[in-house]
Formats: sequence, structure tokens, C-alpha cells
Amino acid sequence: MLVLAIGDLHIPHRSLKKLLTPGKISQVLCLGNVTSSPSTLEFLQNISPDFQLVKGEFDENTGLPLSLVITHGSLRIGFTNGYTVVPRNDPLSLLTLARQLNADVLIWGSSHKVEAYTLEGKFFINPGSATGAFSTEWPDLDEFEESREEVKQAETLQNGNKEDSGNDEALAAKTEELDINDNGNENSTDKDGYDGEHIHPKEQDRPVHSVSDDEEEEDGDDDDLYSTIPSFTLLDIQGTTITLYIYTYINGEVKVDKVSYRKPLDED
Amino acid sequence: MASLFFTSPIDLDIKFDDEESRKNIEIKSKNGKKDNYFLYKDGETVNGTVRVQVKDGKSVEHTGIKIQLFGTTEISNGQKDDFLTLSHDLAPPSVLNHSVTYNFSFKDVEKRYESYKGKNIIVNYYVKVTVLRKNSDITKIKKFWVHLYSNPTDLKKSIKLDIGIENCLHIEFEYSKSTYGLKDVIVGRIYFLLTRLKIKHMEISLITRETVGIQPNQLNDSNTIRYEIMDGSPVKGETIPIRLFLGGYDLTPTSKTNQFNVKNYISLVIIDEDGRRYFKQSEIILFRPST
Amino acid sequence: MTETTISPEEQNQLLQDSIKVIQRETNAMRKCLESKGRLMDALKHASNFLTELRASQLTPKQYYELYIIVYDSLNLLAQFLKDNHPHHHLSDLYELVQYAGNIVPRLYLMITVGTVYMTIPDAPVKEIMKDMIEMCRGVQYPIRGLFLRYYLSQRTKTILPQENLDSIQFIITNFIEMNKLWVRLQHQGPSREKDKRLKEREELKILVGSNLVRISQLENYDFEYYKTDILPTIIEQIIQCKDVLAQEYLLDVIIQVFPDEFHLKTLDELLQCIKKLNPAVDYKKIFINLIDRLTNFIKREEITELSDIADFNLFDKLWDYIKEFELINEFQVYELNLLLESITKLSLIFYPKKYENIDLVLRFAIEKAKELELDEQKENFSSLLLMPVDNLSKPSKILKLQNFSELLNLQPAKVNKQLSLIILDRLLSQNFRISNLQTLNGLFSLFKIIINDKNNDNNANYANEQEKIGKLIHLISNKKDVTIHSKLLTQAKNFLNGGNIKFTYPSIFFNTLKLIRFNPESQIVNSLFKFMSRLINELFRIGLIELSFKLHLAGAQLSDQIKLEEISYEFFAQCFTVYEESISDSRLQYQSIVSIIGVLQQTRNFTRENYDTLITKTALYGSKLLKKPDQCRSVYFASHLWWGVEIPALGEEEGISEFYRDGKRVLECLQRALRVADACMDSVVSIELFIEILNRCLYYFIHGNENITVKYINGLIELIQTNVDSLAEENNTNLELPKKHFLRTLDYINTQKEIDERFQLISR
Repeated sequence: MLVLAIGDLHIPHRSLKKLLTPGKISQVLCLGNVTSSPSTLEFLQNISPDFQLVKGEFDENTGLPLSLVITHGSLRIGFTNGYTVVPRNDPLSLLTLARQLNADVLIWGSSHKVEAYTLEGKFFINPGSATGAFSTEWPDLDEFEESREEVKQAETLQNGNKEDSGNDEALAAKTEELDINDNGNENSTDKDGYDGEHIHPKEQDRPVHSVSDDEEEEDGDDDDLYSTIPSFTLLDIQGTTITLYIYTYINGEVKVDKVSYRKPLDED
Repeated sequence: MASLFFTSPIDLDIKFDDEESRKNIEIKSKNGKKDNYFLYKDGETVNGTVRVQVKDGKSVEHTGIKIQLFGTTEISNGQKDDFLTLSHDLAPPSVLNHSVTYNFSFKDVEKRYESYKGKNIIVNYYVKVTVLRKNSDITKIKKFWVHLYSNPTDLKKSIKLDIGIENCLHIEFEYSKSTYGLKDVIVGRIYFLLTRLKIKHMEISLITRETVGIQPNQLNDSNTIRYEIMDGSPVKGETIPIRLFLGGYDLTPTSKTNQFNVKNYISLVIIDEDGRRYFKQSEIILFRPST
Repeated sequence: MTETTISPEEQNQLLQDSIKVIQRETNAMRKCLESKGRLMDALKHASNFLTELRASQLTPKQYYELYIIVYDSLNLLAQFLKDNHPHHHLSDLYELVQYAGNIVPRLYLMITVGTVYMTIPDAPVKEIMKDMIEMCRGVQYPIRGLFLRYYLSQRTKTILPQENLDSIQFIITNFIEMNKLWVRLQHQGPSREKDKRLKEREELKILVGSNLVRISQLENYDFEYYKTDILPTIIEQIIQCKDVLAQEYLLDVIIQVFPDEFHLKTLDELLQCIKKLNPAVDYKKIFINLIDRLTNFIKREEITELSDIADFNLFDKLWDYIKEFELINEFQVYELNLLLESITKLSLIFYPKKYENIDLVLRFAIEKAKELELDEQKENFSSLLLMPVDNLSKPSKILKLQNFSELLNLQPAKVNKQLSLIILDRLLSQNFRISNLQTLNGLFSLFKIIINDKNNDNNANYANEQEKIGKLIHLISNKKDVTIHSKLLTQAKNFLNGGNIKFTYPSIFFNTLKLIRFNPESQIVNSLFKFMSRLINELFRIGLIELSFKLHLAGAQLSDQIKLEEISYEFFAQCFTVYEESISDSRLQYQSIVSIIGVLQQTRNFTRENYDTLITKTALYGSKLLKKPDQCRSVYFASHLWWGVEIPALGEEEGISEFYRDGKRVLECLQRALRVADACMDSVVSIELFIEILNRCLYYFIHGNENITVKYINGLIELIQTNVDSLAEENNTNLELPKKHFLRTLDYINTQKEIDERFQLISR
């Protein structure tokens, strides 16, 4: 079965990008920061009737749980927004929470950085921000400098313009095309025992077209330069195995990475 | 008639001189059959041969042989009149014991009337050979047909009429001529100046009317050919063409004699949706053109 | 008229009878044609079946059915005549068939023979054509005449001479006569059946129109002839016939069948014609068709140089015409709208950069809108307004239209809003940025109705609409110039303060944050932070306490990152103030404290002194929470404030980087937490909290905080075990969960023993 883990949409406060409309998804786990936008909430709820939501930092509804655990067979999946994990994004504190929740898998968010790793036999997933929303957390130093550099380049190149419009549609469309169960996907990097490093592709080939039309100044800036990479994750759960598909939207293209996890057998 | 009871001792046979080359005309007879006649025109010489054939070596005594040419009218009331009689002797009295052929010739015969076969009057031409005998004459006749040709000079005169029914219909019509040869075409047009009438259709009728005798004992007959020229009701300003080929019809030229006359009329008939007929008749002269 | 009184059943019976006759006579004709020397008889049979076309009691459809069968039968005859020429001398035959006494059969036969005759060499083609078309005048009965002339048209279709103009005159004449008959059909029969007639005529129109199609297919003529002869003749007939249906239909046919290039060059003629139509004619429709046709032509041919075709300004010409029309006619708004719409489209495609044209149209509509009563359903200019939105190369170019916004705002509020939302959606789907003041002013004025909508029902629709404004705010961006970007934000705020700022200010706030992050060295960063402060304060003033708290915290976080300690300190101070004075919900209080801890724990640029002040205060707030478990957890979370850990994004690494650490204070926090846990009335809750604290201890133990000793951990384990044991006697089922948590923790300790020998000292 397929479970969508998604979070930190922050519509409309921080970003514009819309999401995906994949079929086949039997459950949606949402890490919060959506409740300011009824349209987004409705959109998510339409993906699957089994829609589970925890409270994000910017959600006003104090009635929402801070964390939830759902079970699939013997697998227990805990999820939380992450802003109540102290220290934030700290593997050891996440492990502590996982232990507290008795979760085999812990999904958390709030950092807007997509990552996935295994620690102490448990699987940790951060689906990042589905909208590539701006994050107030520390930006990755290397990447930050890199993107600031690119901003400067774009300034020197006249009217840097990325041609593809409607990024959102592209994301949605591409996502539908992908057959989730197709293991022969070209883009997937099959890494068992994933080492926990952030998945942050570093392609440099950002297309920059010079545009001759004198009236183009009002568009063309690429918001991605300033923002986080939009991402979300799909969990394909088969028994105690999870194949995690990580969707990232980079330079106008959807990239899919694959990470596998198997719950260790109980020792006794 | 006599031949039915008596076997005639001689056969008579009349032949016109140029039968191979002479024009033939086919005329319907009463019983629907068609008879062929040789055609002559006015002033034409009628000549030919009479062959008298004696049967089986018999000898026949006669008091003379003569040939006659008749022009006759027969009226349906039984009245008959020969308007033309010409006669020649072919042989003096003698006894015939072999076949003899005689030539005859009526020179430049004036033929006043056309051959005509109407309802009330017939105009016939024939030659008659008679073998005169003491008891009963032996005769044989041979009909021929006469056409009178003419070429009128006032052909160009057209018929133009402007007629109407007050507040209902107003038309102008025109036939290009008032005199037509028998193979001619009647051409014309009708111009509608006002049409409040709901016309169903319009036709022209070609009427041939024969009149025999004089009042009060006059006999009349007419023959009509109907030809639809318009279907439906035109609006004001519409012009409808008329064209009627005469050649295909068996028409009689206009003629006038002391005894009878044949007149031709063209009638424009409008039939409205309620079946009422409105017509305007005009006389036209038909003639047989010399070819 | 009597024929309309019969019933449909009777009509159908008549039709069936006629069909039988035609079939029978056709068979007889065929047999005669197959035998030698029986052509005359064949013609007689043809004449017999043609007599059925004299029918007057059938509907046009039924008559058409007969016509089709008769057409096929006559085809046999025509084919025979063609194959057997010269056995049957066609000129004689042409005369011969004219002896038929009835005109309808006569003319069908005449046309059949005549058109075969035309095809033989040296035939007097011109005379035959002239004769046939002239003779057809004899049929004045509308339906019969129409079909007869249609027959003439069909028969001559492929054989009209291509080399001269007679053929065109021939078709035009036939067209004129057919049109007259068609129009006359309207006046047949009782006036109560007017509508029925109209419907029947509608069914027959194609017969008339086909003539124009034929002309358009001929190659005999050039444009000059079209302009000086063909078009004027046709137009004259159209005007003269005065019939609404005919005028509408035929003009449309002209527009559809003749080359668009011709239309361009005969625009005056066409426009003059439209002016002279029957007032009841929907001339706007015709006019619109014409414009649309021209528009598509230009689009299709991709004509860029209009002067190649027309030496005049097309828009001006059409525009003058519309204005002229407008003087004579009363318009409904929706009608006017259609007209304006199509001229707008034309201009957008012909003259894509001539915004003044569109402005002219919009101004015109504005004047109308002021005079007339607009309504929400039909009488408004919504489709006109959408036209430039849909057809400009980019929807944002509507800002180049000076009158657009005025017309939009003249629409009924509901329409105005709907339109604004549509336009907004189009803009949002574009790859587009608001990078100058002009654009911003334009757009925000345009969407005034949405921005200023204070409907506070707070329903989902309203939120969704406001959300779109939020998205619009995110389009504000100028990467080249920070100052401009900041001015844009200020200006946006000015626009937005008239509306519901709850939905829109946060977007400005985050847009500003983003601007700061990427331009930390900019001179104006300070003023940007002040700007953000003002935003928060305004939100706070309308009672959005929680939101203000979070935004302050976000401001604190970011300003620390760019080393603006004072500003960050101030933001934290604001957080505390809001917390202290305004946050009263206990759950929210707890979450707020945890939030502060989370953020503070990751600050890097405070002086020791300031940091101490802030974390001490935070820990204090935590310890004052109302509920014991909240207190306990806040306090053990606060322990992390004295124990910095690596932030990989900053390149920090445990064991290499220096961190702010005070193990003793950590222990103090944990001790305090333990005391609070112990003070809980519910023993199960106490046990759970003990276990959580044990886990915190393990965290620090792994990190090497020497204040957290094995002894301490063992003590804690023992404490938990004792409590669990004592509760076990009470058979408390609530204990299950903590017990399991405890077991998992112990399991964890055991597994760690294999990796870390220090763990081996921990008992059990």
C-alpha cells in the first residue's frame, strides 16, 4: 500500500506551489502547517479519504495532536511536525521520540529539508516541504552560498528567465506518469542502508535564456533560487518492508529517489 | 359496291406520273388507320396513266372511257358539292380484248381549297376513271391530297395586350407574331404588373375552330391543344416566358371559303386556386409556308 | 391554401404513393432504354414519374425525398443520352421534350437533355444555358421552383465552361431566382403557420446557399470581378429581398465561402450592406461573424504585415462602424458585449501591441456601463473584460490597458469579484513576478475588490480567495534591487491594510524575511525588520496573539542567523511579552515554550550574557506552567538550552566544533523535572515522566555529560522499577504503556552496551 507523507505547505503564507494528484494512495500523513488554507486541506483530503494530520507550528487548531502513530501490520509509523522535538532535527532526540512512541518509523518535518535515514533499526523520514516553502531554520551553508552566488549570476545575465511556466502542473503531471511500483525507474538510486546524508541534488545546469522581448522584465525570476526544494515522500509498504520514494522538484523537473527499509526481526 | 356482287370483267388502275418521287402524306382515317396520299399543290398539273386490264381474254364492250378530276366538299349533314370538275375522254367506244394503258393530264389545275378532314366537313380531291357501258359503268377513283402554300408578308406584326381584373390582376403579354407558319414557334412573354390573384397555374391553349355554313344552320367544331406555361403564382414584376413549338402538332392553316372556314386562336388561360379560369383569346393566322 | 389542411398521415401516404409511381415508371423507362428504338417511350415514362414532382401537399422534407429518387432516375436517362449520342440527335431531342404539356416535367426533361447536349463538341453551350435558365421562370411555385433550379444547378455543376464569365452570371441568376422563391415561401399559406414556414425554409436554405458555394468554387474570375460584379449583385439581391432569414443566412454564407482576403478588401461593401438590412436582422451576429472570420484568417495565415492586404486600418474602420451603429440602435448590454468582444479580439490579434485600441473599446464600454443598468446575470461586460486576459501574450499585460480597471470596477460587485478572481488565477498560473511599482499598483488596484473584502464569515471560500492574494504577494520580487523589492512590499502593505490583514500580512512578512536572508548585508535590513515589526504589531492589535508570537519568533530566529543580535534579542523579548501578557491557553503556553526552546537552542550569535538571560527566562517560564506534566517536560526540554549540539547545516561537528555547554545546569534541569514528575498526583503519569527523564539522561550520557553519571542513571532506573512494582500490586492497567516504554528504554540500554562500554556499567 502507498502512504503519502507530506508537510510544511505553508499556503499561502510562504509559497505558491501546488502539489500533486497521485492516485493509488491509500493514506495521507500530513505533518501540518496547512490549516490556514482550506483549499489545500481539501486538496489533501481528496488524495485519500484516510487523511491523518498532526499540528504544525503555524496551525491554529490547538485541538490537533502533536504526534500520532499509525500501524500497518506490525509496522508502527509515528509522525509529528517536529517543532516540539528538542533539539530540533537532532537524530538522537528523534530516536528518543521514536522510542517513546514505540515507532519503527518516525516521520517528522519543520526543517523543510528532505532526508531519510536508518538509525538503531528505525527509519527516519523528513519529507521536506511539499511547496518548497521558505524556512526560517538555518540554511545549509554550502547550498546557501551557492544559491546566493547564482542570484548574483542571474543579475549579471540580463533578465534571467526560466522558460518553464506552471511548475505546479509539471509536478502533478510527472507524478502521475510515474508508476510507483516500477522498480526499474531510471531515476531511482537504489541504496539499501542509506547513510543518512541529505538528499540535495546539486545540479548546476540551470537553464538561463536571454529574452529579447523588451517587456519581459515583469517575469522570469525563478523563485526556486530563494526557496527550498519542493519535496514529498511516498511510502510503499509491503509487510515489514518500506520502499520510500522521494520526490524532489529541481530545475523544473521531478526527480525520484528510492530508499529501502526493512524492520529488524525481534530478537526474542 | 357493285364489285361485291359482280365480278368486274376489267381491272382499272390509276397511277400518277411521278409516284416514286412525289411527296406522300399520311392521314388518319375514321377507323384509326392511316392512309397515304400523294400531295399536290395549287396550279400543279395532275397527270398519270390509267391501265385497263381485261381479265382472262374476255372482251369488253364499252361506250367510251373518260378520266375526271374532282374537288368536292362533304358536309356532315349529307350535303355534297363538287367545286371542281374536270373531264377528259381517254378512248372512244370500242371493244377491249387486251389491256391498254392511257395517259392523262390535267394541266395546271387550279385547286381552291386544301384537302381537309374536319369534324363537319371534308374537302376531297380525286381522279376518277370511268369505263362507260350500257348496263353499268366500271369506275375507279384515286384520291390525292392538296396543300396550299402561302408566304404572308405581314409576319412581323406582334400581338400585345394589356389586360386585367380590377384590383386583382394586371398583366401585359405579348406574342412576337400574329401569323405563324405551321412549323413555327410561338414565342412570347407575360409580364405581371399586379397579382393579387392566387394563381395555381397558367397555360396557353391553341384552338382550331371550323365553321361550316351560315347562320342559323351553321356547324361549329373546335380542337384545343393545352400547354402549361406557368406553375404557381408569380409576384409583381415577374416575367414568364412563352414558347410553344407548333411543328409537332397536326394543325390546320387558317382558311376561309364560301362554305366553311377554319380559324386558329391562341388563348392565355389563368387558373386560380379555386379553379376559376380567366382567359384572353387572340386569333392567329396559321399558314402553310412554301418550303 | 388547401394543401396545408391534410394530416401528416395523409401526407405520408401521398409520399409513399408517389414513390411507388416513380419506382414503377423508372423501371419501365429503364426497360425502354435497354431496348432499341424505344427512346420516345422511355421519355414518356420519365415524364410520368416527373409528374409526381408536381406534388403540392408534401412537406419540404418529403418533397426532397421525392427529388432524390427522381434525380437518380433522371441520371439513368442522362447517362443513356450521353452514351448514345449521336444516335439521338440531342438538339432535336431538346425540342422534342418541350412538347410535354406540363411545365414541371417538361423543364426537368429539358434540363436533363440540355445538360447532356452541352457536353458534346460544338454545342451552342451559351444558348442552351440561357434558354434553360430563362425557361425555369415558368415555375413560380416556391418549393417546386427551388428544386427545379437546384436540379439545374446540380446538373450543370461540372460542365459549366471555365473560361468565361457566363457561367458566373448563370449561377448568379439562378441564385437570385432561387432566393426569391425561397423568400416567397414565407408568404404561402395561412399566417398562423408562419413559424412552420420559417422552419421549413430553414430546412431549405442550403439549396439557395449552394449557389454561392458554387460561385466561390469557380476559378473563372479574379478579385476585381468579384468586387465590381459578383458581390454587388449578390448584395443587391440580399438587400432587396428584405427577408430576415435570407439576409442573415446569405450574408453568413458570403462570409464563410469567399476568401477572407476578399472580405478584407471589400469590407466597405459588406459593412454598407449590413447597414441596409431589415432592422429585425441580427446584424450584430453577422458583423461578429465577419470580424471573427477576419481574426481567424490573420491568425491562421500568420499575417504580420497587414498592409500587404489592406491599405487601411482595419480596427479603425470597424470601430467607426460600430459607433455609427450604436447611434441608430438600442443595444442590450450583452449584445454590445459580443460586438465589443469580437472587435477586441480582432485588435488583439491584428494589432497585438496597440493597447490604445483596446482602451478605446473599454472606454466605450465604460460610457455604456454608466448609462445602462448592469446586472449580475447577463447584462455586464465580463466576457469583454476576459478577452484581453485570454488573448494578451501574458495576462499581466492587462496592466497596459488604462481603462481596464475602471470598467472592471463598474461591474456589479459580484461580477467584479468573479472576474478579479479569474484574472488573479490566470496571473498566478504564470511564471511571473511583480518587480516594479507600476505593476504592483496596477495589480493591487485591479484586485481591490478581493483585497478589501472584509466578509468576516471566515468560511472556506473567503479564506481561499484571500489565499490567492497571499499568493500574489509571493510574486513580489526584485532580485536586482533590494530597495525596490522593499518598496514593493511597503506599497503592498498600504494596499492590504484596507482588507483582512490576517490573511495577507503573514505573506508580506515572509516575503520580507526571504529578502533579508538573501541580502543580509544590505543597508536596509534594519528598516526591513522594523517593517516586519509593524506588520506583527498590527496583527497583534486585531487580536492575532498566537500569530504575532510565531512571527516574532521567526524574526528572532532569522535575525540571529544574520548576526543581528540586538534585533534578535528584541524579537525574543517581544515573544516573551506576548507570551506573558496574552497567551492564556495552557496547551498553547506549553507549545509556545517548547517552540522558544527549539529556536533558542539553535541560536548561535548571542553573547553569553544575553543568551543566559534568555534561556534562564525561558526555563523559568517552563517551570511556571500550570500543569505538572507540561512543567516537567518544559523543564527537561529546557535542559538542552545548556547543551548545544551540532547543526550540520552550519558544518558543525561533534568533537570538533565548540558548543555552549553547561553539564551542571543540565543536571539541575533534569533534577527539577524529576521533582515535578514526582509531585504528580497520578502515579502512572509520574512513571511515564520518570521514563522520559531517564531517556533524556541517556541522551546526555551518550553525549558525555559527566554530570549525568552511571550512578544517577541506575538510581533513576531503580526509582522507576520501584514505582512500577508498587503500582503493579494495584493491578493498574494504565501502567501498561509506561511499562513498555520502560522496557524499550532498558532494551536500548542493553543494545548500547555492545557499542559503548560505558553502558556496561549501567545495571540490568
